[in-house]
Formats: sequence, C-alpha cells, structure tokens
Amino acid sequence: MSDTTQQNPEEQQPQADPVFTLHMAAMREMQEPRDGIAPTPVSYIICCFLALLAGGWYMGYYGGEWTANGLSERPIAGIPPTAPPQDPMVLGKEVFGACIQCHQESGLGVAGTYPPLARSEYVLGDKRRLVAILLKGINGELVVDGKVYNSQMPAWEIREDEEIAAVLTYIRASWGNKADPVPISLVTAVRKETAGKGEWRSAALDEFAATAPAAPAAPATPAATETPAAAPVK
Amino acid sequence: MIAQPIPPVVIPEVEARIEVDGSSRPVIVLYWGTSLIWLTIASIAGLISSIKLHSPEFLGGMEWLTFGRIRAVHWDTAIYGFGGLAASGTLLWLQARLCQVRLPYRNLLLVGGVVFNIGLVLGTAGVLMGQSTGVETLEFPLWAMPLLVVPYVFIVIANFTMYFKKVTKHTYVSQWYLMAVTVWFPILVLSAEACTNLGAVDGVAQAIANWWYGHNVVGLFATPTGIAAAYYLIPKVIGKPIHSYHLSLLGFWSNAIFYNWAGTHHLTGGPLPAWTITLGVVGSLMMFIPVITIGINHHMTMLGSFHLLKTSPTLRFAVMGSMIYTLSSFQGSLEALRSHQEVTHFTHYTIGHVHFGMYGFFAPLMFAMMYYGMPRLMDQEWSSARLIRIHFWCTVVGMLIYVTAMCYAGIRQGLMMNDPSIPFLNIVRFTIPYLALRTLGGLILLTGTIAFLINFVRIITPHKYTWKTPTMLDTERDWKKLVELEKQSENGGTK
Amino acid sequence: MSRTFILAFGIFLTIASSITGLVIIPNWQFQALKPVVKLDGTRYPEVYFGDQARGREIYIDQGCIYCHTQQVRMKGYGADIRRGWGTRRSVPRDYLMDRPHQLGTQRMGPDLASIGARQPSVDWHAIHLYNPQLTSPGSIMPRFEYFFREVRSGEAAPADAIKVPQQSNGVTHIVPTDRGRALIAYLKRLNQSFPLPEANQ
Repeated sequence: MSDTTQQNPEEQQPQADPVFTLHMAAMREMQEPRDGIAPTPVSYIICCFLALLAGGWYMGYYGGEWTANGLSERPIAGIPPTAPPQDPMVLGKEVFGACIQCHQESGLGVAGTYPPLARSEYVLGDKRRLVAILLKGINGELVVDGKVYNSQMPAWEIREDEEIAAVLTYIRASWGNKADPVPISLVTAVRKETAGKGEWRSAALDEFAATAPAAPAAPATPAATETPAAAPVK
Repeated sequence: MIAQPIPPVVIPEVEARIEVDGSSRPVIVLYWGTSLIWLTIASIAGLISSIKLHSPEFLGGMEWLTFGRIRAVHWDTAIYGFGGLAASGTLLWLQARLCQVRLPYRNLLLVGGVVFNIGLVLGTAGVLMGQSTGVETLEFPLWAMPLLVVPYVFIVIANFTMYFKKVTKHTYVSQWYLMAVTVWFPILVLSAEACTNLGAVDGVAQAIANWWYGHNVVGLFATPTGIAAAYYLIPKVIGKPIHSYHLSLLGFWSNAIFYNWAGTHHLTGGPLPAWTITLGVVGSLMMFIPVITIGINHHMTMLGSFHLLKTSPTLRFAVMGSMIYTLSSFQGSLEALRSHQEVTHFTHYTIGHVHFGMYGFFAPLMFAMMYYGMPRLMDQEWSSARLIRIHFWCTVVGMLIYVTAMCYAGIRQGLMMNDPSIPFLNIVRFTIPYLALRTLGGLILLTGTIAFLINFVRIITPHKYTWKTPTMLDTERDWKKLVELEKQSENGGTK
Repeated sequence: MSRTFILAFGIFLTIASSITGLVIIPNWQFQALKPVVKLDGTRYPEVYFGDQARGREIYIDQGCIYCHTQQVRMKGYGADIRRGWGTRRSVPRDYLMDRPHQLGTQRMGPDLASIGARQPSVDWHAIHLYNPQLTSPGSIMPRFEYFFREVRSGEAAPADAIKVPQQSNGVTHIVPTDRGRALIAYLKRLNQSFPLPEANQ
C-alpha cells in the first residue's frame, strides 16, 4: 500500500517463501516516521498569544456573575423598555401556537374530542364568556354546534392580558369567523371578576354568562369608550 | 522502498517490525475485525432510526425497536463498538511498532477483546430491553459497564508496558497522543459514571458532567487516536519526516489543554450558570489554535506529495480524515458561539456536525490504519481494488449527502423555530425531505462499509494465491480475477 | 524530571483541571440551592413519587430525551417563551430532584419542561401517545400503543376508557395500562410555572 511507485499490476506465479518474501509488505515500507525541525514562525506564536488574550477577554466579559444563579452572561442594563403594543392578529397567531395541539391549525378541533373554534357560538358569541373560559379553563361536557364534547381545557390565566386579548381577537377573525376584536381592558376586567374561581363546568359557565357583568366596576376605567363588554354580536 | 528485489542486508528496523507485527497479529485482527462488525451494526441501527423519523410507522408497534432505544443503540455501538475497538487496535499496533517491542500480554488482550464484545452485546441488549440509564452516551446499563472497563484496563497496562520497555530512544508525536488517550479515557469513563449513573451529583451538575463526558469521549478519545493515526500514516506512506516538531508540540499541548473544557457548549441557553457555558465557548474557540497548528503540520508534510493520492488507498483515507479534521473543528468552534447556538442548538445541525467529525475524520483515519496495517499483519494483499474504490467513494458521497442535508435543514429548522408564528408541525413537515435524504446518505455509507467488510473477510482468510504487489487504487484488481488466477495457478501446478 | 513524567503528569493535569472546573465547582455552588416552600406549605420542586417516579423511568427507557428537551431558554434567546413552552426561563433549582437529568439537546418535538401546565388533560395525553397522528397530524413521533389496551366496537368499554376520535380497526376506546398511566402522571407533573426569583434575568 505504501508504495509510491506504480506497480505492474499483473501477477507472477506463487513462489517458495523464504521469510522475507513472506513479509513483502513489511519489507517495502518506508522508514518509521521521523520529526522534521522546521521552525515555527514567530508571527504564528504571536497570533496564538493574541488568540489566548482574546479568549481571556471573552471569559471575563461574558462570564456573568460566577454564581450558581448567575444565569445571564451579561448583567441586564436597567429595565428593558416596554415593547410597543403589537398588532393583535400577529401576536394572536403566535399565541395560538399553544392551542394547536387540540383545536388544530384549521380551527376545526378533533371530531368528538376537541370542539371547533370555526363558527363556534362560544367563540363568536359573548366575549365576556369567551374570556372567562380562556382564563379559567373548562372541564366536562360542552355542547358546541349541536354536538357534545367532553374533555378538559387548561386555564391560561398565566399568560398576559395582551396575549389573551390578541389570541381571542385572532380566533374571532379566522377560518371564516367575522367578529369584532376583544379589547385588553375586557380581559383585565374579567380576570378581576373571576379571581379565585376554579375551572368552569358547562352549567356554571352559563350561570356566569347570564349574570350581568359587574357593570359599574369594569367600565369605570377609561376603556369604557371601547366596545362594551356585553355588546351583542350581530 | 519500491518493490525491488529484497535487499540483501536486513536493516534492524525491518526485522523488528516483522517480529512486532507477528506478535500483535491475533489481537489487532480481533479488535479491527470486530470493530467493523460493530460499525455495520451501528450503521443498520442508524438507518432504522433515520427511516423511523420520516416514516414513523416503519417497524412500529415493537417496543424494543422504538426510536428512543434504537437511536441510543446506534450511537453507543458506533462510539464504543466501532470507535472503541478500532481505536484500541490502532493504539496497540502503533505503540508496539513505534516502541519496537513485542505486544505484551497477548492472551490477556485477546480475552479482553472477547469480553469487551460480550459487554457491548449485553449493553445493547439492555438498552433494547428498556434498561437504558437515560444519560446520553452512557446509556449502557451499569451492570454491563465492568465488561467494557476491565478490558480497557488491560489495554492501558499493555500500552504503558510497551512504552516503558521501548527500544527506540525518541518518542514520536503519535505516541504522545496514544499515551494521552490511555490516561484520559479511563478517567473520563469512571468519573462520568460516578457523576451520573452512580449519582455523585444530580440535577444540572449532572447535565454538565454528562456533556463534559459526551464531548470529551469524542475529543479525548476518538480525536487523539485519529490524530495519532494521521501523524503516523502521512509521513510513513510518503516517506518524508513530519514538517515540524515544534508545531507538533504546540498542537498536542494546546489540544490537551483546551479540548477538555468545550463540553458545556452542548447546554448553551440551558439552566446553567453563565460562567460554565462561557468556559465551554472559550474552550471551543481556543480549539482554533491546535486545529490550525495540526492542520499546518500535516499540510506542509503532504506538500509536494499530493499526486500519491491517486494510487494509495491509505493515504487517500488519511488525507481525507485530516482535512476534515480541520474543517469539522472549525465548524464546531463556530457552532459553540452563543449567537450561532441560538439558531442551531436543538436542531439537526448538531447531528450533521457529529457525523462530519466522526465519519469524515475519525472513521476514515481508522480505515486508513486498517488499509495500511492489514497487509502487514496478514502477509496478504487486499484482494480487490474495486472494493476499496467503492468504499472510498461511498464514504465521501454518503457523508457529504448526510452532512449537507442535515446542516442545511438544521439551520432552516432553527430559524423557523425562532419564529413563533410558524406552527411547530410545519417545521416538522419541512424537515421530512431532508430526513429522507439522510436515509439515502446513510444507505450509501452502509454500502461502503459492507464493501470494506467483504475485502476484510477476504484478507483475514488464508489463500494460496495472493497478489504479489500492493493493491493500488488505479489497478483493475477484482475478486473474480483473483479467483481465476488462483484456479489457473492450481491447474498450472498440477499439469 | 524525565520527559515521560512531564508527559504523563501534564496529561493528567489537563483532565483533572477540567473536571474540577466544570463539574466539581458548579456542583459545590449548587449545594446552596434548596427547594422553596410555597404559601400552601408544599415544596417546589417536590420529589418524584409513586406514579410520577415510575413514569419518569418509562420516559427514560423509551428514550424520549432524543427528541424532547426539558429546558426553556430565556426571553430574547430563541423563541421558547413566545412559543408558549414556558412562562419563564428554566433555572438550576427546577432540577433539584432530577436524577438522572433529562435536559435533552434535540427538539424534533416540542419542549416538555412545562407540558403539564400546557396540557393537563389526561385524555389528550392518552390519545396523543396512543397515536400522535390523531392530535397532531404530520407528527413524526412513534406510536406508543403498547401502553394502552384497545377496546373494539362491540366490547363493553370500562368506566375509565378514553374515547378515540377516529376509529380505526374498530378501536373505539383505549384504556391506559399501568405503565401508560404512570407516564401520563409524569408528563402532567412537568410544570415549571412556579415563579422563582432567580428566573428574572
């Protein structure tokens, strides 16, 4: 293998084997490798040292706090500026990513298990009831579009008001749904109203929807100029 | 040393070499031969897991073949089965040759090789039966580990014995790396097992220990063995000294110092203190120093001898390996950066990089070692040049398809994952064609492995008739022709 | 000192320094972390017990880690939080009870650090594990039908049977086996929504 010259390929007869013809391969090898002594250029050594310096600087600069809980490599300078409000349709689509596992990207749900959002009376109807479902989750039988569904929806109250309003606005205006947006103030109000409650059951939800919203409490805010919470959908 | 008539005076080095090779034959052939069987098993396991990713129904319903188990089997058999055995064979053979001493404790090493293989079989069976420990790269159940560790202790002892009995005065650079491997690997395995499966630490510290090990098993075991092989084979085949002793020294020590620290970049963004990740990033970035140094050293040695790549299979695999060492290390160093990890972490890009390193750098160097060593150990030539060519081109093409598909898909996948408006399942659907392409790449790699295996079986079985000159890549040697010649010679003999 | 000694000692020193720096010192730092006691007297994180502990073993032996991570990256680094995989970044304290760790490094499937908060429904988990295509069409997750007993049409479904949305091969309901129930219990327990102070960085 190690031969550097091209051999005439085709073959001779096998012959008697004195010990060294037996070891053809070992015989034709080059000498065991040796070390050359080409000097390393000084410029290369300097480059290596510069690299080391750069590494040391990086270590110091991004080292964080050197404690078990110093998780950020750079201390956060001051409070980050609050982000400008986002287009609810864009933000809503993003937040909806968490809903896909049951309600599906098509908004049609899974037949017999997870109710659809498209053309659902719960989505298009009373916004206050819709917000309440999202905040607290719902468990047990639920009739949507004439069909009975029985499963559990988690409470999403851990998400921001803005996100909840956005995702509801998004589902009310997708897959052929055409309903007005959900204002952030409504989410804030319903969150206050339902504080301390557990997940809904169908009956409790109907009862909640039937009661008038605590009218004077919520609209007392400047957001009263927005669509009133209980405004009927066309 | 052209195939001239045999020189009348036998120089001592050749004599020693023949004696040394004669002493190490059974051990090395056992280690290399079984390593190829494990490579085939690992490739098949990899292929099954790859197919399962684009057609999840494939072999579905069988618990022992579920993706999470066969995927673990793939990596463990590749790194311990192929990597462990091929590297140990290389280590023993090279050390014996470079020290010019007969291989000591041959029977012990033979038993060790068999026990190691039994350990691998048991460990694999354990994982398939659901006894995986759940710690990546250390999945083999604890009860299988002694069967892997004890034989390795024999190898360490044999290696040190040879080193202390060595006849040669000079310690060649390959020997440094081999000594380093035998010190590092047992410490690595034992301390990682202690930290993870034996529970010395838990939670996040265990994750760090896990990836400290996971990265170092490549960096302190596979890589040094690969570099040692390259340092040996390149000057040996072309017959020139290695370019610079000083660069060898610089490359060795910077590699030893920095590679250790790189592991935590596998957990970038995770719940780790920032300083541990930064250490990993710096360690990875500093790897530019040894990689460039070793790259220069190999390149300057090769300079002027590139035409030999046309004929010598050993050199071709060795040069491919050392070139991809440079490339994949560059890729790895850049990949460690936080800004790069933000996109490619958690994606197929990592998988592409691992295969670039393991199948582009480490495996070719082990193949080169075998292509060089087997004719010397067996006193027979490789039977077929065609099979060597198939092996080489399958390795190159399969590896390139695999790595390109995975790295491209990984970057796109990472960018899409960082855009929350794209639903997760759309990303999954996007990757499926690339996952299928990976299956194709894996299939080509497996084809090459099988070609090599056939050639290997042929060279270890005794034959009356063998080629009298080395099998070079540009010859038209084939199996059939050899068989014909064999028949002819038999007929000729009887007539 | 001979060269051999320098070689051997140097080699040993490199690995000893890195295991000290990367494993021993961080582990020593983590000793200060203790579970927090919540207002209702329970602790976070709590040890795994009963079904959760058994479920964790199943999670490990099925190799879920090769496709699913259990770590949420900080806000502004990747989109983990915006994807709803968690409400805050993961911190070391979340993993105090994890042995072996299951952080994972691949996301062929979504992150599971808080899957219990995102998806508390047992039925969903059962259907998804039984056949991922039913809840996530196009998923590449394998089916884990061996964790369920199938009830075909005509057979009487037990009280705890779960209705399958689309019937195939006449399977109308599935009943999780003990292992299936344990795995689901573990998945439901995965929840990092408890706000820890150190997560605000």
